[in-house]
Amino acid sequence: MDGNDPHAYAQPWPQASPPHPFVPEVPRAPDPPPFVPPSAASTAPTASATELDPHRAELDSSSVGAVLDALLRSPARLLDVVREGGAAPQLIAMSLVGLATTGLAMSSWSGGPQLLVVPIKLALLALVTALVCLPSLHVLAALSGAGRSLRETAGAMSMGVALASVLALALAPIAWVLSAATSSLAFAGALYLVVFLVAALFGLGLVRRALAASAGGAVRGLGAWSVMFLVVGLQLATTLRPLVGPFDGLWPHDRTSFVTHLADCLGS
Amino acid sequence: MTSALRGWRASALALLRLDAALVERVRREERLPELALSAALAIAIGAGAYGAAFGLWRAPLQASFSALKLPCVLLGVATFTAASSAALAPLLGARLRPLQSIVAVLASLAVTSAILGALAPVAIVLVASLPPPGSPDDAAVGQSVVLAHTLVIAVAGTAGVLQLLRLLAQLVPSHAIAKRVVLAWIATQLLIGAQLSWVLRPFVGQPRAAITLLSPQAFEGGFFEEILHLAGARFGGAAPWVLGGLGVTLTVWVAMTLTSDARDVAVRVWPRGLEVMARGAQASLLDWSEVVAVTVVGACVLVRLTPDESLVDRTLEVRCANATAAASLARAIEQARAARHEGPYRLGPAEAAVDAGLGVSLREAG
Repeated sequence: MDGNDPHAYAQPWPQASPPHPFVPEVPRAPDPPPFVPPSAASTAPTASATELDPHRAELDSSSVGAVLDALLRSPARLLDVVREGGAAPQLIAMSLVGLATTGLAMSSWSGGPQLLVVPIKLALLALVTALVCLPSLHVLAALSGAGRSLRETAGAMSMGVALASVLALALAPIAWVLSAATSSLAFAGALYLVVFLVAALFGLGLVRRALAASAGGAVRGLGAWSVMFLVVGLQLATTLRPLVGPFDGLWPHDRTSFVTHLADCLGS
Repeated sequence: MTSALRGWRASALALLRLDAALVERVRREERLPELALSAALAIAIGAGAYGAAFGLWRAPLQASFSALKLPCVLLGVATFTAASSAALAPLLGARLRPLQSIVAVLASLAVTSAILGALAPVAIVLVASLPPPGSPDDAAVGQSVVLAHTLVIAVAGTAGVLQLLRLLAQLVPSHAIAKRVVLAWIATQLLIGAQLSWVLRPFVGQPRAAITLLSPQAFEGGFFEEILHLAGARFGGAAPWVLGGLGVTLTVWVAMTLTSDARDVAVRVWPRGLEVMARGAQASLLDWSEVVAVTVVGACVLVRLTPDESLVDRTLEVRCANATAAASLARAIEQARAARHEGPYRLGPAEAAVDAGLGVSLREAG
């Protein structure tokens, strides 16, 4: 068949009562259990849904591995559990471990007290950014018909933060190898900034998709909200500096915007 | 011991051939650790042999150092990118488990190493016939040796990437997803590979310098820092703009490649659903319950589908010969969907759209 000729694919409409040609040919994936796509109209899952879906039962249990697998491979399934308030401890644990370990890799560049301080600062940064931006996300979601409760919006947000943390952790070895030998603070800082931006973009993408699934369509204004989320995160990172450089006391010193700080770093 | 060796050799050969049994084994996640070990051994032997050829021009001692270091670079690449490979694959649409991703990466590096190992005797013969270090023009010869080895490694690496693409194309839902995943993996591997090669230098060695396992400056600076310095020396004050422009261009290209998922397909409208036929893939029948909305834009029909398990929006973009054909196809789809709701014995309205299934291209956005 030649793809340039549209008529090459033209097929006659099947005659009355044809034997259906596709029934035996439709590929059936052996592994995934039956999946019902989430929608705004979906009702709360029942006990029978859990019984029918063994993966769902795994998610309901306390297995972090099952939740991590669902977060990466089938977030729709996890979203259903999160809507009911489940999997929250696992998501929080994943976020904390991911951020703390990435913080450890970051702080290894300077060593000393930073090895203890930076992981805590990173976890704090993510928590405060999420809390600050949650109300605006909930209002946006409600305007588009998603996020029927704050818990549902918070669930979508926690999935996004957990995914970003896990991805940052996965990219941390690469950043560590690239930054370990350099003596340039700006280079090391820029490297970890790229890692966190990539991770945040994937996390924000998951928040957008989770809310769209709840709303039954795209949530308007989420692009602007994502920019706001990144700005808040960058500003808090500037306030909590230094995250890569040597230890400089526990408390913030002078106030400055992240744009000015970034320009100063690049200039140096 | 002998049976273990035979098993390893069989697995290594299967990796090179990429036969159906091996692909099925990876798909079913059967004895993957054993496969990973086979690939690692293939890397150690193949890259080790070529590493020896790499350093042989300088001296036998340098050859033995390089025989150790080249496998270390490849295994280091696999180790340091294992977590990112495992995390990025499902995020880019390939529903692979971590061990499947790691085995796929190791398999591609094993193919590269096997090619390098096979070329090692050729390289040894050629290098042995060159003027040795200490001869009048040894600096030029040394540069040529480095260049030739780099080209050979590039060719072997390309073969490994193509084999990886072939493997993934059989494991993931579409070729576009396979390309996306390979691009992301290769990007991270290049970053790590460049840095590890920098740290573990020299591989050939300066003709008149002392032979060492590692450079005295091994842990000072890095490959990309050196690029920055070289750009600064070459472009002066414009260096940040040149590198920034290059970085932005590369980022935009990667982002566009990662997000676009276009492939030529045909569609047919059936009472039970929409058949989607893609070149090189098995035809699949989308149930009408998966179709959310149908819209016509010029000569295109946009079919919006329910999100899949990864919550990715799916939109089929069916390009027709002209606007009339597009309208006809959309009408046929709507009628077939409506007929589904009317019951299995009432397909009358859909039969009017006999020639509607003319679409030739599909794009899954998301």
